[in-house]
Order: sequence, then C-alpha cells, then structure tokens
Amino acid sequence: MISRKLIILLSVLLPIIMVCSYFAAQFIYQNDKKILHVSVSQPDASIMINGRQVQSGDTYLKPGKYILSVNKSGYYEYRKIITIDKDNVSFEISPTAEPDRIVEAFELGDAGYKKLVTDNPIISKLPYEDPLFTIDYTIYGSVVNGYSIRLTISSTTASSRRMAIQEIRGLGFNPTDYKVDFLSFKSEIK
Amino acid sequence: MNIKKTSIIISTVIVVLMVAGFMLYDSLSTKNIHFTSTYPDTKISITSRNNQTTTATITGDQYIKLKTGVYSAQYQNNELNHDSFDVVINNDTQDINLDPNYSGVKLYSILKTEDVSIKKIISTSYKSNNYIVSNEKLYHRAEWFSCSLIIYKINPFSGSGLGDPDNYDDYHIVLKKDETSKKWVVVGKPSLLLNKLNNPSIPDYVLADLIKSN
Repeated sequence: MISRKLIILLSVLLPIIMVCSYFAAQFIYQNDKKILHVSVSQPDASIMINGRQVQSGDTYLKPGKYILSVNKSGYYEYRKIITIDKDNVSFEISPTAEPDRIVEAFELGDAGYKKLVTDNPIISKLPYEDPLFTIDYTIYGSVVNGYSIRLTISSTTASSRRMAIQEIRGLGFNPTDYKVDFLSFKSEIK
Repeated sequence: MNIKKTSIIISTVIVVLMVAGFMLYDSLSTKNIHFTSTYPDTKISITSRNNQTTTATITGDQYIKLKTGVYSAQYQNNELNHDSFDVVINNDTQDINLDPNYSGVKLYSILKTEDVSIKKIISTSYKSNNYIVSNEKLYHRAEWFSCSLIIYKINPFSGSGLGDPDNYDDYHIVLKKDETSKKWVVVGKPSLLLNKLNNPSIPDYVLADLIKSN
C-alpha cells in the first residue's frame, strides 16, 4: 500500500522536478547572456561560433568577442568578428556564390564527370586531332551554377579554323550548341 | 407473319443502331482545333492522307474540325513560303499556332530595299576597310538578318588577298529589326561562331544557317 502511494507520489514529483530543473538550467545558462540571432539565406549552411557549430536562430552568449563563420560548398566563407555587448545581436547572412571557373575533371568526382559526359556526349570524341587543328574542351562552372564545357580549337591558320568548325558538324554535333574558344586567335573586330 | 414482321423490325433497328454508332464514332474522333497565326489572314490548305483538303483563312481565332492524324499543310498567301509542312492532330491537340515565313522571293525583294540601311548599321558599328559583306540573308518575315563579314589582311601584291584562304576570317553577324523603332539592331556581334548559349534570342535556324555558309 505504501509502495503504491510512493509510486504515485514519485510519478507526480518527478515530472515537476524535471520541469523545474529545465527552467532552472535555462535560467542559469541564460543568466547574463545575450541572444545572438543568426539567419542564413542558404538553409543547409554550416554556422560556427568560435569553431563550435550552432544552429541557425538564437544562441545565448556571454558578452565578449566571437568569430562567426558561415560555410557552404560553392560559396565564399563568411567570417566576421562580432562583439556581444549589452544588447541582443542579429545577423542575416547571404553567402556569396563562388564565380564560374575552369575546373579539372577530377574535381567533379566520378558521378559528376559521368553526368558531364552524359550531358555533353561530344566529350567522348575529344580531343580530336587533325594535322591542321585540335579540338578539345575545358570544364567550366561552379558548384552553385553547375558545370558545362567550352570547346577549344587550336589552329594557326584561318582556313583551319573554318575546317575545325565544320569538323564538329562532321563528328555529328551542332557547333552552335557550344561556346568555343579559338586559341591563339585574336579577333580583328573592335 | 408475326415472326417476319419482328425480324424486319429487328434488322432495321440493328442497321439504324450501326449507322448511329458510326456517326457517333465519327463525331467523337473529329476535334475542333483552335488555330491562331502570327500572320494576319493566313490562308492555309490542310490535306489529309486520303487527299481530303480543308481550306481556311485564319483571322484571329479560328476553329477547324479535323480528325486525329497527320495532315500536310500549305500556306496559300502569295507572299508566304509555300513549302508544305506536317500538322499532327493527336488526342491531346487543342491549339495550333502558325508562324509562317515569307517566301524566298519576298525575302529577297525586301533584302534589296533594306540592304543599304543594314550595311550602314554594320559599317558604323564596326569600322574597318578590310572587310566585305557576303551571304546576306533575311529570315522569317524579314525581321532577322544574317551575313558573313569576311575580314582580310591587305596583301601588298594582290590587294585584298582574298585569293589566299588563310588571309581572311569569316565572322558571322546577326541583326534584328526592332518592332517599334523599325531600325536594325546588332543582336549577334561578329564572331567566328555564334552559339545558342550566348545568343538565346536568335532563332536556332538562323545560327544553324550561318555555319552552313562557312
């Protein structure tokens, strides 16, 4: 009988103790702390304060200086020294996407390279070497914008430049589908 | 006698039902297709595989009753291109938008009148004495123009030096006539190869035609 009473008492008390502990902990933790609110336009970006990962939204910090950094693949790192003083602080961060650049095939990984070849089947025919010209490609792009190819035509004479364009057609592709860089060629048009 | 009467009635009913069935199928397989055209008063003839021809003039919105199938269509207006083209009507077809081209003769006659103003735009945009304009062409309804600028190096002995295939490069250029100002504007700047990615406003058939002239 006693033990039954005790069980009932404990089952009532325990949740009360837990709730009280939660609020006590919250009070102790948040005491003298200010809210740093961080929101990032890229939802899956990694937010770090002094190298410790935090969630976007509110973080309680004691007054002082902190390093806030935001990282996401394909975007420049956002890094800023922030000062928490008397007031709560809020940051809305929009990471800047890295610009398109020439990339090496290995940077795409196997799956990325396979997709590139599927999207640009001309890759399987390149480099195409003719005694008068060479048609090759470079991979161009970024994580954010995706990757595409630019054809490169190496030729030293005007007639071989024209022949190279026709050779792309001969390989079964439409030259107008591609951005083409004519290496060692300077346009006469101003 | 009664049996004979009954059998006549039954066979009559069967025949009537069969005819009604065929008529119902015919009306259900005929669709009312909504035709529009970018050219005013487009006269078009649409011929089915069994040589049944429907002619119509598309003025604004026009509905033409057609069964599902593949038709051969041809514009009838004098100044339009008369090459026949396929019109496919399937179960999902509801609208057909026509966008006729001018005939080659019409485009050529317009080119003769526009040639001076187009060349003036080119010569003011790209100042050089060492080029000739070739393969001039108008497309669609004369609002697109393309040509080659053959830019050559001066040969001190033969003058232009065009006889030497390595002495000139073939630049492609595309102009469009602005709808409001009616003036020609360069939309595809001179390049050895104009591509679709950098020139999304230029129709594919213009870009494709340019590389044929290489």
